[in-house]
Amino acid sequence: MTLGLLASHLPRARVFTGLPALGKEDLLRELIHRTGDTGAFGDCDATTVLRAVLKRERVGSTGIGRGVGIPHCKTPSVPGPVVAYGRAAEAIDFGATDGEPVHSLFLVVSRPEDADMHVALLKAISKAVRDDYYARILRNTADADLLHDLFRDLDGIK
Amino acid sequence: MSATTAGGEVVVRNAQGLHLRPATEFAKLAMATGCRVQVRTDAGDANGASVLELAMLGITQGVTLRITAEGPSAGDAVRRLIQLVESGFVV
Repeated sequence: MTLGLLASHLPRARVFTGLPALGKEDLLRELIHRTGDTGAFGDCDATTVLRAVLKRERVGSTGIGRGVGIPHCKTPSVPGPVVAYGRAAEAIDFGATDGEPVHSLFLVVSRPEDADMHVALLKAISKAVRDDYYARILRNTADADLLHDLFRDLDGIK
Repeated sequence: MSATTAGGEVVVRNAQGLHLRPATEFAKLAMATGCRVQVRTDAGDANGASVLELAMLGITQGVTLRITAEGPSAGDAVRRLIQLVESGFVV
């Protein structure tokens, strides 16, 4: 089976559930540090990524609605596009466009020269969130293995 | 004021394409116009006021957006949206 764009960038090791968080910054810190612990950022340390992601969030929330956020940043220091998924133990206020609390985050960290790939990853994630069936599963599933299977399935959405 | 329909085309010039921040700026302006705004590309159609739908189009540099607006001052709405895209989404 050939993996689609999202699945090929989102290995099981970067699917985290039950992330404890008291608020938005807490949740981002937890997700980014756990992602950093997998070695995904290469020589770039997680604190640098966190700082860049928080700076981007100050421009405007990346909460795109339906309980999902796509925090992201660009940094030349990562080896390639990095995607991670984090599910909060409890949904939190993320300043999302629709005002809904956020339960799921898709972190996207890419190099400045990978702009087209960055947009393609946003497209893949947005399609999943827009789809009622997948949005419902995302909202109700806290099992990391099931979620990882879902991400392999998502690339088939038209 | 009676509802009108207007349309126009613009090419996305900024190197980063229509990532989340530009999509948000576009959607905010589309909503502020009070018109029903549709965006069409070769990849499909999107509600211009929906960040999610705009992101789904995967718009990169060089893509042509065909914008239509329906509602009061539709021509002005299209003009402002085209200006936003041409400015590189600077507000």
